[in-house]
Amino acid sequence: MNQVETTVRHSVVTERKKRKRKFNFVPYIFLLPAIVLLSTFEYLPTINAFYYSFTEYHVLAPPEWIGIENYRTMMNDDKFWKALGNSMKYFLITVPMIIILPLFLAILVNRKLKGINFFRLIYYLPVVTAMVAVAIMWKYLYHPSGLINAFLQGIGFENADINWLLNTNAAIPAISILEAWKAMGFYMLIYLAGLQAVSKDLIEAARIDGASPIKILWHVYLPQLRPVFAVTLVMATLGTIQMFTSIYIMTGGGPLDSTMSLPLYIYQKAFVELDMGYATAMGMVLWVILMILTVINYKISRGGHSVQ
Amino acid sequence: MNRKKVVGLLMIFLLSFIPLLACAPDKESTTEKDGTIELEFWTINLKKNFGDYIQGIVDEYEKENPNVKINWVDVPGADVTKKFITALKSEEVPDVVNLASTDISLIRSYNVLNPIDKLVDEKELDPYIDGLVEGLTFNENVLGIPWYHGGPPVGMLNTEIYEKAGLDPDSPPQTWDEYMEMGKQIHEKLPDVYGGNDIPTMEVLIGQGLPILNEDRTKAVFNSKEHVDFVEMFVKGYKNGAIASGAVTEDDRQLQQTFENGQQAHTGQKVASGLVSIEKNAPSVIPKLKVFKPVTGSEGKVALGGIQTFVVPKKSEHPEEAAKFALYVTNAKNQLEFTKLVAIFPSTEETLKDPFFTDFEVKNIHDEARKIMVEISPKLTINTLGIEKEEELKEVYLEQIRAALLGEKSTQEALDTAVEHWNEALSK
Repeated sequence: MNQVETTVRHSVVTERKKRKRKFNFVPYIFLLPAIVLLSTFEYLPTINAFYYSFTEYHVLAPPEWIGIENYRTMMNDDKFWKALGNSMKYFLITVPMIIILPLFLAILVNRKLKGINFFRLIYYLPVVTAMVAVAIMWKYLYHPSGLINAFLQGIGFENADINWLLNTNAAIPAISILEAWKAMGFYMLIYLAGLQAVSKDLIEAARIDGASPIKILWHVYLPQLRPVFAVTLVMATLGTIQMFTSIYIMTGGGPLDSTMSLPLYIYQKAFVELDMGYATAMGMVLWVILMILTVINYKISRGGHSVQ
Repeated sequence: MNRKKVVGLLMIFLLSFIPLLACAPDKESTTEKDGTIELEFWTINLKKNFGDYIQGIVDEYEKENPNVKINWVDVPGADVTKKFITALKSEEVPDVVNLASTDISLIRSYNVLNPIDKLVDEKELDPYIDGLVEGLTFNENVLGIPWYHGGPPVGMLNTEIYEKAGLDPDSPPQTWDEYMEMGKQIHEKLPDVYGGNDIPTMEVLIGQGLPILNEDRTKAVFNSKEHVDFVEMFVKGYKNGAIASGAVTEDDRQLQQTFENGQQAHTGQKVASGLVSIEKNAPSVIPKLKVFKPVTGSEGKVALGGIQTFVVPKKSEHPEEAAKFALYVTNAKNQLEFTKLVAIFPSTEETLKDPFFTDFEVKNIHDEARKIMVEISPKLTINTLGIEKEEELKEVYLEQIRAALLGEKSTQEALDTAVEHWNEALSK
């Protein structure tokens, strides 16, 4: 080994040591509280749940390993398929409403008008109202002799006597409308933030080129809002597939399970029938479905990159 | 290390571990150094309306037993089973818990309750009505001490609606046929008003004298021609307005047409304590109401859905003392006091012999209800079948009844489906 080689090696080792000594552990310390809390209350229970899904577990007795029996039962459980189908219906009805309508609301309240903050507040109010209170209020609206039927009769549908929440066909759309109404203000706010970030220069340029307001919306606003769509789509998907409170309060899953969502069925199995093993197995399936839908949504919105 | 860094690290430590410290078991012995025994006592939703009464019992017991301290916890009705199960998983177990008898049948198979007959002398259970103790006996173990119950149901009608519909409020329905006929007439005359919300529950079937199980309790038999004809009467009633459109709801609290909103004309069977909530929510309706003997079959039998009880968990550190306290709360004297506060029925025979039940002046609708209830008490039975997964199976039955009412299935199909499900469960 010649002298030069030794010197070079020596300097490399010192450099490495230096780098090692310089390793900045401070950010990791700051991450620690979140990691500890998340692991304790989120990841460990999730791993536990994964284990319980392969057991027969009724809370008051120790879990008993039964392999994939819970998953096999699920495949033959009509109620599970019905609940899953209903959750998909909620998703298909609610998501378009809370993705599209709030955009128009946001465009409306994005205008510089006198007292516009008042309208923003009005649209946002349902978001901060407790779901239990909102659901009870809507139950009165949907009552056979409630305001909605009275309104329909007033505008000419004289035979409007729909029992919204106890009609197996009308109940899902009825609950979806309430959910969309409640969530609209929240999504409006996200769109509003997105709209306000759109470059004024681009809009100005489009106007000078003679673009109509619709063309400006289509070719300037919407492409710029793509990252916002990515967020709203994922949030709306996660929210609607997990719908629970409104259904629990308004129909309890009835009539004849026609409004039973998968989360509500999981709840009933877990906390009413105490069948935790089966409930966690369904929870796992729900988690996989949500992951798949999230990835699809993310791909559709092209990873949230805006198109310039 | 400078001060800022030290403070920062300390904050991080506190943020990370303090919440976890809170999760550490905090097991304290419930026997204090001076020998005082602490008992945790749970009731369901009684503090608001009967707080003074319960506190009075607690104070009196503590005075008579200076070595016992009672910690009274009142749990909201809908949460009690969940809270109890969560508590059973932890080390912080209540000692005396108020549970509905239907909940006992849900958790009894997990072997978490102390048999009461092993904690107290058998004679101590003598004052309670035999049928009620039998209803709480599973595999020869008495798992609960009977407390109060809603009493036999009574019939109720709105006199104003009856008069408007051309019916005589002094001639209420006595059979389900009459109930349907009158309900139909009411809905025809007053389209916004329906007959009632009664559906053919298992209690109604039992009251009608229709059997649920065969004699050796191995098979369900509620799909015979008699059963189908009886249920069919309700299905027709649902179509013609004798039964309200909201009667198919899964939760009684969600009924759409009620006495309170003036859309219900009568009920064939309702627990009399329901009058308390009507009085509270719609005081103007109470003077228009009239109570009558419940609508039943020819034998006049009426069945109770369940009763309130006290249980002592196996994890309790002082089970004997807990059972002794539960016996005190449910003794004849204390139950008599309770029945004077609200239209409920006691589980002790002696209480029923008090002049309060045998010789009283009828001053209001609650007294009228009590008079009827005392009269039909001898014909009271409990709808406890003593089979595995009883509550779940009863729900399956009701689900099929709702399907028949909504016209999703014929009555025969609905009852056949339920019977098939029951027999599959019973054969396991």
